[in-house]
Amino acid sequence: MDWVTRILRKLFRREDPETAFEREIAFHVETLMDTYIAQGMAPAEARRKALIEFGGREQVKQTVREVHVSALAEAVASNLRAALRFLRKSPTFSFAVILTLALGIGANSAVFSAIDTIIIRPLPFPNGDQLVAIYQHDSKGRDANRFVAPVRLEDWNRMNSTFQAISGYYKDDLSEISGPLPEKVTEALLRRGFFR
Amino acid sequence: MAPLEKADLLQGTLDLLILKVVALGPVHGYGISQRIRQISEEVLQVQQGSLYPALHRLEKRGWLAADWGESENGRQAKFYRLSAKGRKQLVAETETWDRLSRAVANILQTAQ
Repeated sequence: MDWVTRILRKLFRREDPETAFEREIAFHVETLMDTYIAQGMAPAEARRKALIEFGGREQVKQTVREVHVSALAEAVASNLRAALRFLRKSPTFSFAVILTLALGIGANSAVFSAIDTIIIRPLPFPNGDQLVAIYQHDSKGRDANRFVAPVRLEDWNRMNSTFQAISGYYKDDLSEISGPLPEKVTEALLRRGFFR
Repeated sequence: MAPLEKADLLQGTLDLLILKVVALGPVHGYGISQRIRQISEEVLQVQQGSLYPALHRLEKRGWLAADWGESENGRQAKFYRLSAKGRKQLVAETETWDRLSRAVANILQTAQ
């Protein structure tokens, strides 16, 4: 179990490389200082000499940083190269995987954009959350007639105590034949209050 | 002997020297620079500005492994040791170095 905790510690409690290197430098400088003090130098003088001997601290830190960055870049590059090599080595498998991913992502984004407009995003009207659609349903199970007669719409409005108002429309396709070619025109008949 | 200038150290030689010194046992950065200086009889003096980047590079390549531990003077130090991969690398680089130095020596002898 010891190695498990060791790995977990490595994963979650990794020391910041910058601080780690700071400590590494500090050890070097302090040990140099110890050596000079052992040779009979005053501590302040020993510290000064140790710092000089170590040289440009920031410069060393910068170079070490570059080593880490370029190692990361190398790792990324070699992974990419390996991926490309694999893709080229087995084109059929690659094609199947790419097709699967493409279809999967495509289907997902299509379904999501539909769900987004229908369910998640509010209607593009003011107070869209107070807008409802009313259908009529034949409880006797005969052919359902989805059209509501204008008279009934007026009845509903008279009996209504729940909604601010009930409106409706009827849509029809007409032919416009005044020109050289007939044209399809869609008309809609609205009850008053539709655009309120 | 007078110390050589940093530029005189052949490219890649520092890596070989570090691997060799670390192969002798776990050692920290300061110890590595001291040992290189002592063993080379003061001819080779590794600058900190080259030593630490090299150590981190070798660690990243997986040739060296590092752990924090207590040093001889009771301070926390980062100790480097050779990994299995590093041991193989040391053998390969030593071989390359031997071939190179033999070749250079041969040329110098015939040129005399």
